[in-house]
Amino acid sequence: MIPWLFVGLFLLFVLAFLVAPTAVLVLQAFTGAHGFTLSYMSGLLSFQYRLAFENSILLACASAAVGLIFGALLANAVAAPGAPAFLRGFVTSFSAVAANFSGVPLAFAFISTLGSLGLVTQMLKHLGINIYDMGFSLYSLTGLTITFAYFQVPLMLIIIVPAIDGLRVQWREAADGLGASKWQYWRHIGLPVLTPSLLGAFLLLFGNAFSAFATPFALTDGNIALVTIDISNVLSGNVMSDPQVGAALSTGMIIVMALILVIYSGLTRHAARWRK
Amino acid sequence: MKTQFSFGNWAIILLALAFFIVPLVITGMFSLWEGGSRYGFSAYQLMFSTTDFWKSLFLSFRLSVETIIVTFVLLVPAMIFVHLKAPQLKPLFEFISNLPFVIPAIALIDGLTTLYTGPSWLISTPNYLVIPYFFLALPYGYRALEVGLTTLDVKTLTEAGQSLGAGWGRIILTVLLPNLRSALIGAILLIFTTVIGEFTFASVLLFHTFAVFINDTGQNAITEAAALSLVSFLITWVFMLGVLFSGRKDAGQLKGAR
Amino acid sequence: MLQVPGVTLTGISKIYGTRTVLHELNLALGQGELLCLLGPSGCGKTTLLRILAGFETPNSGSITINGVDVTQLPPNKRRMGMVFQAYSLFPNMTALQNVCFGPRVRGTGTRAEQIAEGERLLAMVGLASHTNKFPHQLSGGQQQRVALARALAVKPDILLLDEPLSALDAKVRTQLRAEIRRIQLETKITTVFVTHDQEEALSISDRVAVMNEGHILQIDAPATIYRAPANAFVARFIGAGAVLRGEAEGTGLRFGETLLPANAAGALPRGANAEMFLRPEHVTLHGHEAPPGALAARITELTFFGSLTRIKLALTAAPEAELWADMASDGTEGFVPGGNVFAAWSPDSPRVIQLE
Repeated sequence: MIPWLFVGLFLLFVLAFLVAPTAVLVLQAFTGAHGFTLSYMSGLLSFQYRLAFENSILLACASAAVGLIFGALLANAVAAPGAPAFLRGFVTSFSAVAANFSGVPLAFAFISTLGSLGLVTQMLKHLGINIYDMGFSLYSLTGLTITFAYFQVPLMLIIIVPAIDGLRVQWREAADGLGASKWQYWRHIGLPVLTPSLLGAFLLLFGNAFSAFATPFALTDGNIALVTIDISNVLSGNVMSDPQVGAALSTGMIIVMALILVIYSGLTRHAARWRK
Repeated sequence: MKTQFSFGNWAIILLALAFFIVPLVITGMFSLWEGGSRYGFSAYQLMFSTTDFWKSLFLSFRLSVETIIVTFVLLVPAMIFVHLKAPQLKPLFEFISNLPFVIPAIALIDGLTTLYTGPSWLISTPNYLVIPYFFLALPYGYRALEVGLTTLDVKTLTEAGQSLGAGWGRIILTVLLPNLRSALIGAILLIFTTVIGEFTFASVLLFHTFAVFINDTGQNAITEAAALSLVSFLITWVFMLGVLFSGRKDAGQLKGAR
Repeated sequence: MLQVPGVTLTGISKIYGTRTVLHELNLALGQGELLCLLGPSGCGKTTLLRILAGFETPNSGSITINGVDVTQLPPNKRRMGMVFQAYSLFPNMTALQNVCFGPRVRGTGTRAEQIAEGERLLAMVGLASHTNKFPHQLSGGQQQRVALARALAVKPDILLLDEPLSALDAKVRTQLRAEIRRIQLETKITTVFVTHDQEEALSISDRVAVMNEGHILQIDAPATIYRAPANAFVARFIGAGAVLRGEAEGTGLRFGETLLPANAAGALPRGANAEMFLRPEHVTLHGHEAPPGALAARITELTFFGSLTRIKLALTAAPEAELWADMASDGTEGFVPGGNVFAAWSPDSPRVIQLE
């Protein structure tokens, strides 16, 4: 009896505070003054909001890719058998903190480093390299991607290091004994075995960047069109819009994420068909 | 097996070190700037003497403890029982643990404020934040616990406890939880850092958590904001190391139990 | 220059920190021989095998395979096939893909040839109908057969097996070890087999090397190891039997007041401290009519092993002397714990080794 009580309590909590609010929101997106309407949802295709979605998705993809690649290389270095002992503990604790370092503190740190008057920008100017003249700006999607890397790479590390640990040393030795080079091992065994975890990591990184609010808000003051910022504008009343617009934007985000989740499930099922 | 640490590995680590440490160092330098060419700790002195600093820090700390407790009460027993009695529910739990990714924070806040306009004893206190925080931390907490539960042979340990006459409560408290220590510590770590760094929910609901305080200060005084950023990073990191080290002593135990 | 066939290890030492795991070992295998490295946990047999494979480097000494010095060669350049104890099949590949992996990365033959050879090897190990199964779909015994086929696919100079049967059920173990021997004889491949199970070692090897604490104590054919152990450790480790300590005295071993018949004692100086080993199959028990020279004893334990029963005895004249006797189970009526019997053996049966 008791076991089911706990399970039921958890499910009830999820229903009440996660599922219900979301359902209400989605409902609201389709409800106008006179009942069911698609006008708010179709409003998402207007230039302004379409740009926001494009920007958000582009930013999410780019920053997920950066996090995936650099995080994987870093994780490989940390999990390597010859790595110094203290490295792992240091990296684990640092990653856990850095993965949540966002908003004003992060924005401020990067503005002071790579902003138009940032220290590194100035140093590079002294060396004759003017990055702002070359077209770089911290307050662009590129700048955001670099800033996001500060929490995306640690997040990737946290996810992928256990997966790398799961690669049994016997597989490497067997491959060695059969004559495989390091690249052949990774190509035929290492990466295929890691692929489900890599896909999962990309999903997490994408979702993390896609729903990021605090950092772009602090960094760009709302100057770059992003869906999260648009939603907050509606919520805070900065923009004269019906609340349904915010609901529609949120529903749009949910649809994007749900689509990504479906693609991820399909890909993983294929990549992990050799698993139990 | 060759165990040399290759040059490529060192290069990547040094690159990462530069990328992650430089912004912190620069923030640190800014925090010591007192205008003109004076340098000193006045920003820190000001910060530590501001009551709002301590109030907001304690609030965030308190909220993280509450979220941890709620997670332990709601999630841990549910997961243990799913492992023991209802493995067919595992896909459902996996799905639920992925939901917070599909439903972005800002959307959830939108929905919560629309749906729940009362009771006021819940909505108007900062404790209301524990609800969205629970879901924010859910994916990470679930994953940490899931890894711990699968490596531990929950079924055999429970049956052993039952055969010796122990009831559910005793088994969970004295047999299962101690052996899940490293997973639980991992979950605590992640919940703490998530709550301390969380901004979206708190700012929309107008509660003065630590992250909101930093943001407010940042609008006005850059030096204080720099000092704050650094301090928030360091506090979290010190806490993390403390929890990790207390956990490491027991990590060896878990390996020995295999 | 004449190619010396087989494998030669000379002066191999291995030291971990302050611990010497292998003490300057010398070993020579003939072409097509199956040698077992046998010993208790920690004796260094797996380390020796891994040095041969190239996964560990020796602190001193050299390894020669077919006349070529391979000591400095990395594992993927040595022409050897290795079967690990467990977990070595690539989980993301089918059995056939696992077997074809070696030829594939080495580029031997066309794809079609590789597949045909892979199927042939899998058929040889009895898994013709399992080629497209993934490792998690195969039983432990089947996985090890695939591992064996995979190791043979690269046509290695030597085959190395690191306790390949230890993780399997008893019945599967017995079947599979016979298979391994059959395949080894068919392919005539030089093989080194590491195990801690002496029954395994004795039943399939051409020669057995008994190891302890980093030393090789004896290398001989199984029958020789069993009948003529070179020292006390080997005698104790291999097979069962009584171990009795006393002084050598011409025709026997003096154990307290009793003289235990043992012609081998005559080779030792009179009065020397020695140990006597007597196998259970050499001791006969008699209820009433005792043959001349038989000693009175009391039965302390009977252990039923199926076709035979092992009986533990204590000599009446010297109760601290414990002996064992094996009898066919059918003939043991009347023998009960506490009962009195006479124990006899041929004086040529015991082995006597002088103690240092």
